[in-house]
Amino acid sequence: MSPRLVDPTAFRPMKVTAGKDIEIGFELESITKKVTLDKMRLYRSQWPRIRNWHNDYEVAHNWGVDQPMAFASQIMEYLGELLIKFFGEGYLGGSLSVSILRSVWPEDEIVTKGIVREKITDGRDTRLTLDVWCENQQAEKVLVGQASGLVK
Amino acid sequence: MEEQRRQTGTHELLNAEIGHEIAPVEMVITAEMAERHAWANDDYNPWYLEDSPFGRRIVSPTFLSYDTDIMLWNHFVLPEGYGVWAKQEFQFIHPLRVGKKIRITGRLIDKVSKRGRDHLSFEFLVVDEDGLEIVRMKMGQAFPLVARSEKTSHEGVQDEPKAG
Repeated sequence: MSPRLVDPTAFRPMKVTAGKDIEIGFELESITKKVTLDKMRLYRSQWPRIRNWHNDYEVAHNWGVDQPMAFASQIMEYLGELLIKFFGEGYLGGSLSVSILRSVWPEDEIVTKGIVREKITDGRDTRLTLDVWCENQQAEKVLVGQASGLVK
Repeated sequence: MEEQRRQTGTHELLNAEIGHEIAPVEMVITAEMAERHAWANDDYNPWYLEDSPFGRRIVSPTFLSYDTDIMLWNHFVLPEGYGVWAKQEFQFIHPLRVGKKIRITGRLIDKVSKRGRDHLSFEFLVVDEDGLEIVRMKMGQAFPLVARSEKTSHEGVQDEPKAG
């Protein structure tokens, strides 16, 4: 009997989440995303669909680029996923600050990463500050920034 | 299909004064938005699709950054030469709950000319129907898309002080 396949859309929590025992230098479990034209078209889409340079080749060409470019805000979502998976409810009281370095295109593979840089305990709360970034399949950083959250 | 008109705004951006307020936006966060967003981002967190510890489904923390960009171009005319979205900041205060009506207000907070571009910063506050602050955001955009010669920075945008 062939093995049962795993639902690729099943939620996969991180094995290690934010806790008081997390040390500076801890690397979060990375999250890999395949950017596709379909996902770009679905992102915050309206119906009937409105053409723009994020979803339509002709409009992209008119704007001087070879193909539709992913929304920067959609790539930021990958960092939002990293934070909520790591901090859970502790994302509230936290922050995210990113700089956008490079464009992202259909079929790019984006890996989202984070590393703990600071740990401050104040009373019952511990705040962890992370360096976070997204890199493409050439290991080029496309978004970089810092994030923080609370461990209660 | 119609091409999206991002230039529906009528206010001049590069001549706007610091403090210029952007027309506010109100919207209801729907279950359909949460689900479509989950599928678009391959992020099937049950907090978005089923229930959350906050009493009902929520949407992702960074959900509204898209809306602030659209809000900008429904208020300002997109400058000639277009621009680039350079920076974004979030302070997460309360969860963004499905079913809640929210109001986004925003204003221009800084403008500086450097390296052949005009860099403009905006801040946004999102408050829900219960008066809870949900998220504070800052966004930095740079104009034009292709940097121009340093000597032709736009009138009305203060040159960044040079080191030394």
